Amino acid sequence: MPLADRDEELVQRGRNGDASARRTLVERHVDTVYRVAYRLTRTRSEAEDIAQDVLARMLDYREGWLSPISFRVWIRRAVLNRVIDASRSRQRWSIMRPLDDGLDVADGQPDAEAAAETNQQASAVANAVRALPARQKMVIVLCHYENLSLADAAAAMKTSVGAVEQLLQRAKAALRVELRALEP
Amino acid sequence: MTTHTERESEITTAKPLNDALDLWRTPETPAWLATRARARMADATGDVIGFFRRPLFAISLAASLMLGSAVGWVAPLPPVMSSEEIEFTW
Repeated sequence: MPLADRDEELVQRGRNGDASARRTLVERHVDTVYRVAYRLTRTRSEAEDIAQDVLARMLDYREGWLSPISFRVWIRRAVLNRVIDASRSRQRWSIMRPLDDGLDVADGQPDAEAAAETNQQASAVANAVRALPARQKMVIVLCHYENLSLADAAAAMKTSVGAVEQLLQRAKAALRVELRALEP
Repeated sequence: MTTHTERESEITTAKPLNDALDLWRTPETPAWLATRARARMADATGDVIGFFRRPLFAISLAASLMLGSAVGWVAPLPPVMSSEEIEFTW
């Protein structure tokens, strides 16, 4: 890949006001960001909000990409961080919910939009992955669905390779139990 | 003792589970997402020139100037009193 087309180079050009570099960056990563956000959240709308936030801040000097971490790892880490923030604010909100009798928010449940997985087997897999503890779910998304190496997944999660290995083994063990009926 | 790479390959060759996981596909990315993200990116990176070029900004600036002028003509502020003009009544 030519140097000018590398993500890190595009970020620098985008920060200097190059609109075409910004466009390329967004178009190159919008699918990845949305995909990761969707797998880690419960609704399409939440995934869309998170994806927009992450993409909009790619060039930010404070919150955006900075070397030495590679851009492909950084962008996934940014989604994870944003998902964690959203989850925390949802938890805070759910603590307050009993006081709000008038509000009918289906918090913590997949909404109607998430029923895009019409296929029953796909739904079973989605539910099994989403039911995993947060860090196991992240490891499955990064290592299986995003094909990141253990080292890159560890960098994205700011943890050690050994910890990612353990999380992956536990997640796969839990999923094997949950998805026994689906395996050939 | 196995290395990280060997263990990694052990983990990733569990085919049946991987096949099952692959059944879950994500929906297509909404087409508007990239456009909206680019617009927000311009704001987040402080695209000052782009901001001043926006039609909405130009219209609101022109409206503010016109309104300001009109208010100035209709209701001019009272002149500031000098210290000699202040009378004490006690």
